[in-house]
Amino acid sequence: MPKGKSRKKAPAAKAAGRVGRVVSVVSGRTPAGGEVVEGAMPVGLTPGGGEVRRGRGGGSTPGGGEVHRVTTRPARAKKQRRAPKADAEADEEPEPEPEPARVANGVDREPPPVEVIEVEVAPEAEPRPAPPTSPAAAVIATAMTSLQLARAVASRAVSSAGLGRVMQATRALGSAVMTSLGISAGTQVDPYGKDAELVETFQPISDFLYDRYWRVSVIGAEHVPEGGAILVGNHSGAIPADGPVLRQALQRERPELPEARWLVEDQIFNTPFLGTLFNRMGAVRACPENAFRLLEERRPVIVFPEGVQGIAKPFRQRYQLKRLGRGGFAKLAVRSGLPIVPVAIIGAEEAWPLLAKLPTRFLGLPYWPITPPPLPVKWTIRFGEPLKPASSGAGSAEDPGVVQPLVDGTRGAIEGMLRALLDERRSVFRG
Amino acid sequence: MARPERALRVAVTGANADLGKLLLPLLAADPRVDSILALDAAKPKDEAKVQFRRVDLTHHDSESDLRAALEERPVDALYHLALDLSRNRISSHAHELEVAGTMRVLSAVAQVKVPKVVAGSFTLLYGARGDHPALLGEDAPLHGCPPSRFVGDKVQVEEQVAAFRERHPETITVVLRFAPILGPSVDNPATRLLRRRLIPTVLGRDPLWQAVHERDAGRALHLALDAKRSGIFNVAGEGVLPFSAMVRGAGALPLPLPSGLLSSALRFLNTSGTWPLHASLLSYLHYSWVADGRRARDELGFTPHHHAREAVAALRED
Repeated sequence: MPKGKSRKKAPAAKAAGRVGRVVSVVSGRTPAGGEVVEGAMPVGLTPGGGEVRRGRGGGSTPGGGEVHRVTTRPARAKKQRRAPKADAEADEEPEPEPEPARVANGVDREPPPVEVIEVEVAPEAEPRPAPPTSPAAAVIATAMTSLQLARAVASRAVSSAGLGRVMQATRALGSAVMTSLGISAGTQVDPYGKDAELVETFQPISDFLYDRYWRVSVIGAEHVPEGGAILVGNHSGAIPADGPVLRQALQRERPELPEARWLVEDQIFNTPFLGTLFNRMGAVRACPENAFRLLEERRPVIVFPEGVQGIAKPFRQRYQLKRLGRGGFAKLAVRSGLPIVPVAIIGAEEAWPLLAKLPTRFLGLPYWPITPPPLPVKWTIRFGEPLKPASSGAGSAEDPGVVQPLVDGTRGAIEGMLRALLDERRSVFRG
Repeated sequence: MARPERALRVAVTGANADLGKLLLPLLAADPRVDSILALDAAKPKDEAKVQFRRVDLTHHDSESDLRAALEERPVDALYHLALDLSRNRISSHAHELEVAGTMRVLSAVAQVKVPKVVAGSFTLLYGARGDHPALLGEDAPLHGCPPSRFVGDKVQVEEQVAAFRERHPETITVVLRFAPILGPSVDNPATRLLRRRLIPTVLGRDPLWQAVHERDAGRALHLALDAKRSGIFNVAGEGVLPFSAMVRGAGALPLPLPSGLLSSALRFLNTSGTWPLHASLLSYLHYSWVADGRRARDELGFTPHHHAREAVAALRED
């Protein structure tokens, strides 16, 4: 009966698989019902862990019978049937347990012998120099070696695809932390500072946020012309994710265009940790030289002229445009003769509402945002009709009669799209 | 050039310093070069075609020595590479060599009417600042690194060369600004720092650096011999690397420290005099300083053969 029940559950819904796995993890921790075989880290770390089968009486935990009922089958069935969805699943429910616990049902099914984990230094590790001389170097070297050892053990322990995904996400977050500390040692960095390796490692997380969590929908991406354009958006969210999301939107909707880059104001760009991380993720310091060079490369350049003012506004002022900087984006358009594409972004305000600001000038930060973890708000990005400058050239760029109308036109277009999108929106979370 | 391509005569100041040592073998191997006049206080290693003339640029009489040497054997081009990057550099001596020495060299060159001057310089002179664009063109101002005399002296050298270039349009004046030159044979602050086992970095920062392999640096110097017009050129290897990657590439370990702590620690270490990184140069560990090498590629025909990764790895060769 129990088997039948779990079989019925498995195809029925995701929930069954989840319950199955969670329970099996618990049973791995407290070996209670039946014979529990642990095939992961603890075994590898125990000497003589070639074949470890720990059987204990079911009476020790009250839930012993329950645990016994859960076989490996629900998990397997789930794996087979829901293979294409596996990616999203893993990301949706982050499980901190890296080791899959296998529960064998009865004596008749002999579990395969557990492999002894051979600890090997990860192949991508840098070649080691001669042993460090100073004691501090020795300590760090030891720490690095043991980290590599732990990583090797952990990667051997992971066998299922779902957990692999979780590990991948963990690794991505790990490299993001290393990057923000300034010790990533990435070697695939372009002159603007984007670390291709980091972005690739981070891609599963970005994809998950984009597709599943924020369910970004994009309207009017065809308005972005080829040959370079200045994309001007409303800036929002206590943690400004709008730049990378907009970049990803263009990558998805207009893959034929060169990769878009987003510009970041000095105050953020030169901040330790955060600025370093943003830069490696692809942010470029906002200044005319950089913008021109990116436009010369015929890229769409993403600008948030409101700057820090845009993301520092309290939640009640959401979707109200601040002053569009000093109109640098319009001067850029006039000088280069390239069009401005106004962009309205809905969702970023609620995804990361700014609840309060802690004064942290002493850390070199304008403030420390108090905000919840990202909320599963639905995002909508709308690109407007391109606005062409009335005349172009370096001379016109200093002419307020040419620049100001362009600033006002952009502002009007973004505000109009924002209003329309907010009117259409029924629910913040469902869209 | 007006002269026949075959019989080029070249003079090199600072022939026994790092840049000179990289250039001399290439000039010696160049069939167009007829003779090389090596001007330095110390005799460089013997190469074919090299004639040594002892000139101490820190000496106030050196200008007349130079003039005499250049009048005796007129040259088609003079390389001014007398810059002190060495380990046991004394700041006042270096100032005399670089700032006063350049004054003397340029004055002699102007009087003897040397048709071409090639001066060595460094991308270090742009300084590392939070308000710099991602790629620094040759027209960017030389902000230097105000607290550092090491950098300040070299900025003054460039200012003199720029003034010379304006006053003497008939002389082709080429300035090569090198990214940190790395390789098994060179010795400069960057190589000394990167040859440490444990290298301090600023916590939360990972500025982009460039590096040029010593062989590429030599090639760039050699190519400047063919420059038809005056100009300033950034000379960098391919690609950029975050400083942490340079550290790891050099086989060392990064030791991230909070900026304030690192600054005090360096100031303390500097008083003992042995630590290769001076506290005044800390901004180069804070902000990126990446120079744009496009002009050297387009106008000088210099394309680096080595990526910055290889240049760093070359530090481990012997």
